[in-house]
Amino acid sequence: MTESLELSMLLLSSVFWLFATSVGVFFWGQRQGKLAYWVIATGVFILFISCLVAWNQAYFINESGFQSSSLIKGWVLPREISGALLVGVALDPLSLCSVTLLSLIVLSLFFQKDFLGPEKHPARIYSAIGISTAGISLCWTSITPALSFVGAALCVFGGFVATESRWDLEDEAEGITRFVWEKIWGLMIAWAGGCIISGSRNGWSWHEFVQNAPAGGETHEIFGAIVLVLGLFVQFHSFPFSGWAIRTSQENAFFRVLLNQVFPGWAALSILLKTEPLFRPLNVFSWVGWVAIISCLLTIATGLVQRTARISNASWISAGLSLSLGLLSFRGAAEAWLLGMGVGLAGLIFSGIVIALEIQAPETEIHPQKSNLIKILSFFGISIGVGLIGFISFGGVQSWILHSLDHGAQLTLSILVLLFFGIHGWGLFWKVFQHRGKTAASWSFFATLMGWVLLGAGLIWTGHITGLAPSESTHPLLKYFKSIQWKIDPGNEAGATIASGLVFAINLVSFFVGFWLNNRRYGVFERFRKAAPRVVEFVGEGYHIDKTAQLAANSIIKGSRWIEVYTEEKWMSQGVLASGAKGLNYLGRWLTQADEWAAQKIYLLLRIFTDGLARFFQWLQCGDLQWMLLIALGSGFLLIAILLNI
Amino acid sequence: MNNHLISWMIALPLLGVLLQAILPEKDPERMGFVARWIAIATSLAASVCAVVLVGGMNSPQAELQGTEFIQWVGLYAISYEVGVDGLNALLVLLVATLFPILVAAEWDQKVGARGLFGLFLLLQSSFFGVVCAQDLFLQFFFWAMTAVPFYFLIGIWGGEARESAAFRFIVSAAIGNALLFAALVLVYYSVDPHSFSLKELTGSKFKDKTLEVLGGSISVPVFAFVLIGAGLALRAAIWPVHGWFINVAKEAPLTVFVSLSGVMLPVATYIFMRLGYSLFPETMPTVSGVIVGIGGLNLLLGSIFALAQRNLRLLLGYFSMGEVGLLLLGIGSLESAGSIGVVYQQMVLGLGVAGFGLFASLLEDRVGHCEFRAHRVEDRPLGGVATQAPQIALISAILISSLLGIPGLGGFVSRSLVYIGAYPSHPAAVSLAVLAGLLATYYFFTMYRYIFLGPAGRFQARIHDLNIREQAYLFPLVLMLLMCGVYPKPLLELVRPTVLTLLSTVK
Repeated sequence: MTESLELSMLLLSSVFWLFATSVGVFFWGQRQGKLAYWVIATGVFILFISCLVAWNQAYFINESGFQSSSLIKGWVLPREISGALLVGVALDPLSLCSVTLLSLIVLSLFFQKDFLGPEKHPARIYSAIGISTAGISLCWTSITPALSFVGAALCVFGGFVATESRWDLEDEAEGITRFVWEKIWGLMIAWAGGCIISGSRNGWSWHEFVQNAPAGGETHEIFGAIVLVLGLFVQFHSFPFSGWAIRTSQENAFFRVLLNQVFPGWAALSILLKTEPLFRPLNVFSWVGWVAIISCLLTIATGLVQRTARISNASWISAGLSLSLGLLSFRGAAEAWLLGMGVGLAGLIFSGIVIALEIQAPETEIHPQKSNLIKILSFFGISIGVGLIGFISFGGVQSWILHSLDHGAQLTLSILVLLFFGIHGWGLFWKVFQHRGKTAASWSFFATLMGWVLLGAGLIWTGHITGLAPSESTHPLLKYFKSIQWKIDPGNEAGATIASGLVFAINLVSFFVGFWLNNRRYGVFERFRKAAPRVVEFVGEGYHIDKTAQLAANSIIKGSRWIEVYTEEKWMSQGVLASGAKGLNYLGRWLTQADEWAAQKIYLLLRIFTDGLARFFQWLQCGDLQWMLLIALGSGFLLIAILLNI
Repeated sequence: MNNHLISWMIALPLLGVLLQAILPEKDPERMGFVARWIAIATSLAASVCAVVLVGGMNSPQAELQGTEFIQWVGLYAISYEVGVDGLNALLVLLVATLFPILVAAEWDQKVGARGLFGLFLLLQSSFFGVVCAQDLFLQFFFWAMTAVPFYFLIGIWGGEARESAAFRFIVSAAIGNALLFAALVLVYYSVDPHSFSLKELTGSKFKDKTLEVLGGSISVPVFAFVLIGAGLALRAAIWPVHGWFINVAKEAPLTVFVSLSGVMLPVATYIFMRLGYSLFPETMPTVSGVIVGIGGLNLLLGSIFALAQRNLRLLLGYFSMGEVGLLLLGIGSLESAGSIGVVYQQMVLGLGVAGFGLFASLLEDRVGHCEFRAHRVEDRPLGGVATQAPQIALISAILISSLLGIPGLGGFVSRSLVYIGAYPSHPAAVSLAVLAGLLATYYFFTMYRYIFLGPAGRFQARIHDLNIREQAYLFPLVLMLLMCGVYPKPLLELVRPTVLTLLSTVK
């Protein structure tokens, strides 16, 4: 990588500007709605323009291809010191593509107001958009864990700010708290994992992690890597952390998906993609992949039995992000990126459709075109996520199937997972297809969604009309993936055709199964719900993980109260201190009694000794023999004795 | 050459105490006004001296700077020897930041303002003295002196059971001080010529000395180290000798508890670190496992106890008690990152805990208590405060985030360094620390939810946002935490040379 500051600094400055203005809007924008709108829109526009400038400078002008640029500095302690935390950003095709995509999505939100719906405080939403966009841009461009975690934390903060208008509602407050602490838990766990890895190596940079060989502490590194992946996995809201995603909420369906689910999920995905070259030699992915796939299947089951499209969509996105982690493990970063971005984009389009359906038109009005448009859009939207040929996720899914062709078990697993994932996705489409409501959403709203559908086209991202990711592609993103030795498809044309056919067949089957499951005429789910209500409830409520966790938390709290009572009150206050005080009291009393006894004895002893002497003196004083005589006689005898030298 | 600035820094608050003492008794209202201004002026003047002193430090230098040396009791080699280096510079800044803030927070104090401010100034002076002292006797002198103002502050301005809390505090402090003093005397007589000077005692000066007791021999360094550890543990609220601390948390005025948890606990760990690294370089590697073990246990138990609390005071009390464990974890790591992290954490923790305590104090002033939880929604004392007082909501969110170590704030930097430094040698303890952090996230966010989110509580009408005075003392605190999180390098560059030099002798 070229150590040049300009391009990285340009993007970093625009990210910082966006963050600063968003924080300003958060504080002072409440009463200046219009100004807030313009400030944030300008900030996002600047970010987008700096992406274009970077593309222009780094790729189009330079004939030799994309020149990555990076900037890395010691943030906490100088770079060469052991344990130093570093900050660094890199402009490579991956980060640039991702930031361009998300800045384009966010920018398009500012062209019409239907996304906002009946929002009480639009300025706070704008602020949240700005903070989250800055955060996720930082995550994608960062090459150091420190900055990645700052970015991820900003995404969580943005998600929190977005819910501001519902902070005063009891259920919503519960959900928001749940969202924040779960996300922060995930980040803290992931960050602890980063610290553990960093403890066994010098420097805290993804780049240096990749370059430096393990320094004799492989066990620590494996543990650190597992902890890091676990923390980031929490961000996906997949099983067993799906509690928040399946909560009923009155929050704006679109922003809930964008700011609370997709952006934090993408932020976590960006970190996972960067750590892939580190984890691969540690063999961490061998079991992470299986865990992610099982989690994906269980999340799909939860999503399938949901009654509302918005919760089902949330589960589907979570399952998709989990699946992209599976792809990262079994295949590589390119495939994971293609699926992860595809699922996020599809989820956003679908949540836009949910918003459109919530914008009810009067019964007298007829909007046939829009009704059909909704159906078309939902079809294309889901296609982007499920890996239909021609769309972004196809490259990822097809590559997985292609590389599973020679491994029976893996092929079966991949087909099974993709089938269920497709059934869930197409089920969402059929739910919308049957919707009879009318919408008053504007044409520009649909144009925006259509623009996102175009963004999901495989041609843009892989340079291939089908969305296939061939190894010899001239597309800068794929060249980049190859240049840093991340796996991409080898040119196995025969295998690719079989794999593409299989992916198509899976989609076809899941399309019809989705129809059969969701069609009112057959009412499969309704029948199943009646036949086994407890099972449906168990699966639908995320396998009661939340209830169990709540019970466990309550038990811990009760336990801690018990420990506190027994250690603080019973043991320390009533036990040690009270018995200590009692003991001192006893000691004091005993000493006093002993003192009295000793005093009496000493007095008695003294009396015995002094009594005789006193009587003698008394006899002297009161008797016939006088003092004077005694002294005279005594001194006389003494004098004679001295003179006679006796 | 003597630098009088450091002595001015220690003496100016004492001058304030003297002025408070000679204020006439007449016209209490007017005298209260004068007392406030004397307190803030002298406290701020001392703080300015501190900032100038630390700001003028030469960062690559590991040796003491800004020193002053005066023979005190020449016969017993006791001297007034003070100075700053990387180990104590951040604590000097902490003391300089917090005491003017505490004076400002007690600005409206009606009962015995003179006495209260005088005792706060005495505390500021004592803490400056403890932190800067380079003579063991002098350090002990200042350290013992800190106990007295606390006793009166708790005993006079505390809650209903204040006498009991003050008594428990002073008894613990007295026993702790006695143990510490015994250790210092032991050290003094173990070197020839006898000395209390840290400079002269640094290194392995008495590593082979033994003490003959009942026919057996005890190693002087080990015995003295245990005495020092036990003496400081009593004052640093280490489990299971932390009972007095929780009692004080319940009864003391919140500003007093803030100075206790935000200053005294970090300073106690500083003394332990300073004496441990300087006097016992041979003993430290042997006992590091024990120190880290005690630290891990403290962290976990502090978090578990805090989980059950419904009162902000007790929540803060148990959290602070647990966080001493993190400091011990860093001290015991004996790694550069861990040791630098712990020095940084001493300051950041002090600032964060102080901020949180002051936030609790704001709520207590408005509502009259610190309870935040009830079994039924309708009984909830607080709730929905974020809409009524957004500034309080934002400031408390930043403070909590820093205490938890969320990226972008001071706590993130120090915790990262402690984890990175401690993990290779003590993985289990770091895992416990992470677990404690996760529990802390749960209880802090739950607390935040009950106070700031959800429907309005019973005392909602009494809540109002920050006034100008409150903004004036809370915003700088929050800004400092943000600065510590965003650009920690200048401060860490001050710390690094001294810590590396000390660690080189330990290893």
